[in-house]
Amino acid sequence: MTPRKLKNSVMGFLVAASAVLLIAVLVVIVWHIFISGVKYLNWNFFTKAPAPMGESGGGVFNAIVGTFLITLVAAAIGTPFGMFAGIYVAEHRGRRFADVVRLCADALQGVPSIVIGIFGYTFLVVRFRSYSALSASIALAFMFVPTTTRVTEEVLNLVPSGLKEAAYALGARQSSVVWNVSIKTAAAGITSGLLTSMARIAGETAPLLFTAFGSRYVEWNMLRPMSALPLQIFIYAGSPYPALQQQAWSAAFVLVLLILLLQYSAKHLIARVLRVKA
Amino acid sequence: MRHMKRMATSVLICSLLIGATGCRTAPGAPVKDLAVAGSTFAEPLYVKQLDAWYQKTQVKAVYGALSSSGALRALQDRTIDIGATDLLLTPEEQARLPASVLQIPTCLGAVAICVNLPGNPALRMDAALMSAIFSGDVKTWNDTRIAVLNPMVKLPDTPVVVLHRADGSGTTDIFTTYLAAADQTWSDKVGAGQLVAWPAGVGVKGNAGMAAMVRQTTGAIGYMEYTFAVQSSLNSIALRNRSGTFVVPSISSMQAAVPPDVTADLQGTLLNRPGVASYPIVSFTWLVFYKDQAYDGRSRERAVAMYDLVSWLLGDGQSLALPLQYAGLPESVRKAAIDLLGQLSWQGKPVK
Repeated sequence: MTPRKLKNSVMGFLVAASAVLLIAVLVVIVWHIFISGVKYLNWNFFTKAPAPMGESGGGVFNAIVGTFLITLVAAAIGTPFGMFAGIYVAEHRGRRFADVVRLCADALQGVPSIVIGIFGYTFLVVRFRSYSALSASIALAFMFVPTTTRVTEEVLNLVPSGLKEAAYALGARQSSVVWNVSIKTAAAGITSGLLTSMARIAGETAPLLFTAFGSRYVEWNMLRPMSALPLQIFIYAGSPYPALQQQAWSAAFVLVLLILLLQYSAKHLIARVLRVKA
Repeated sequence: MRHMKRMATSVLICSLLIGATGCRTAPGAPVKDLAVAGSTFAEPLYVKQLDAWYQKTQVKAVYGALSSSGALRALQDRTIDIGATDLLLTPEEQARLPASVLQIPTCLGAVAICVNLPGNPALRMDAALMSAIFSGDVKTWNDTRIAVLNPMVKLPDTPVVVLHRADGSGTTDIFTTYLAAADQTWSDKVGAGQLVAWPAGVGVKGNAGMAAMVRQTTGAIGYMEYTFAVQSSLNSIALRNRSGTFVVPSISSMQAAVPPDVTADLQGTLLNRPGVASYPIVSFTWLVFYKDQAYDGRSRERAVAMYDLVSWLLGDGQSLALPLQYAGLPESVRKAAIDLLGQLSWQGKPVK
């Protein structure tokens, strides 16, 4: 075998092996969570609040409610900011301030979530003298905004400039072009970006430790401490009670399912955008 | 135009969503939520008690197992209503708080020393031996210093794995305070506190983490709240108490450590008490909160909710301690604690 052929087959093997490894890791994780989690799933798990430690039964309804409320409110707070910043950056490409905004979004994306948590504790929890779900949502919104900004920008950049130029040629104002042409064309892409960002924050634990605090009761009031699935998994996994450790696996299964679902719908939407473009 | 309208609607919905959550409870209405946080030592008990209180009154009192030092921090930041600690706050710790606090004992707990050795032998130890082990001086389990106290046990040559807590822990505070009081070498070399400079060993997090680690590691020795030892089916070592007898932790050996003449301010220590039946590492666990509740614009109703909860914990709530391997307060201490709670005030006037 010539050295070139040898090199080729070695590299080919490495690339294929890495690809297989990537899939294998995901399969092992999902499979393990599925096997460990699914056997303790029952109706009570989805509808009941936790039983006191050491007692059987009980569920994670409080955490499911918390994850939905905290994530949705974070998205509601973060979406306008993230989207508008994204539109600004896309519309003013090349301008210095737009570059600064993009740079800041990238930097904010790189801030470790534990730092966001401490920030939430110092500026929200201590300021308002109370742990609350709302402070968790605001902290998570800080993680939600930069990803949304970048995704919005990227999707808007995919809108063919011919389309926009045609609208301008017909005498449309910039606002009209942005809303009626760019946003409309990119709507599915932006929505998929929002879903991906939501999937990302739904799985965060560190910011919640400092802000949401956790609660064993089903709580609907955003100004009170609240639980969420990652938080409950963190607490249960470290508990001495086997029943709670089992519930941690089930909660992990539910959380992974939720996040995969969000990400799948995001992918699905992106696929639709690309089909429309083609 | 239509799109602007749609945009405006979504902004409106967003603000409504946020606004709707902004409605605070009306003044004068009873407070239905409280935040308690701290000790992992007493977590199983508090969680059970707060759940029972919720069933009774619909008051959602959440418990966060931060650690005793976390409770102090949160009290300092005034982000919780009640802190839970395992030892009385020292005068220095109290000085760091912006106002004076009430410290109310709620139950008795013990620190168990657990070992993982093949065959689960019933071991005996004294303070000097534990000081040597936790200092890393004893390398294997068949060391003569262990053998002297355990002539009946066939000790293996397994290496000793010392485990200690890595986080700021009230359990560590109780354990090291005991060692420092009972053994001069430990007092000189290491001292006592929630975090100490361990001369040897591996750090683990939380009472639960400690129990799990001892179970997994052959040759391990670690200290944990008695409940966690029982829940994890670990054997506890019999310790030599001040009267010279070897005693294992149990409800009765904990209660035996409480002197009949506890002072009304409950300041006395329960560590290393004399008496043939008393286990030497026993402690009250405490709730800590500000004496005057009219700070940061807090309502009188919140103070009332706190008073009601704590007085129930000192009353009917005590019956929940025993099933979870905690000892309820002896009657004299319980009376003193209720008297102490009577000092809870709002704008200088007693709450009840």
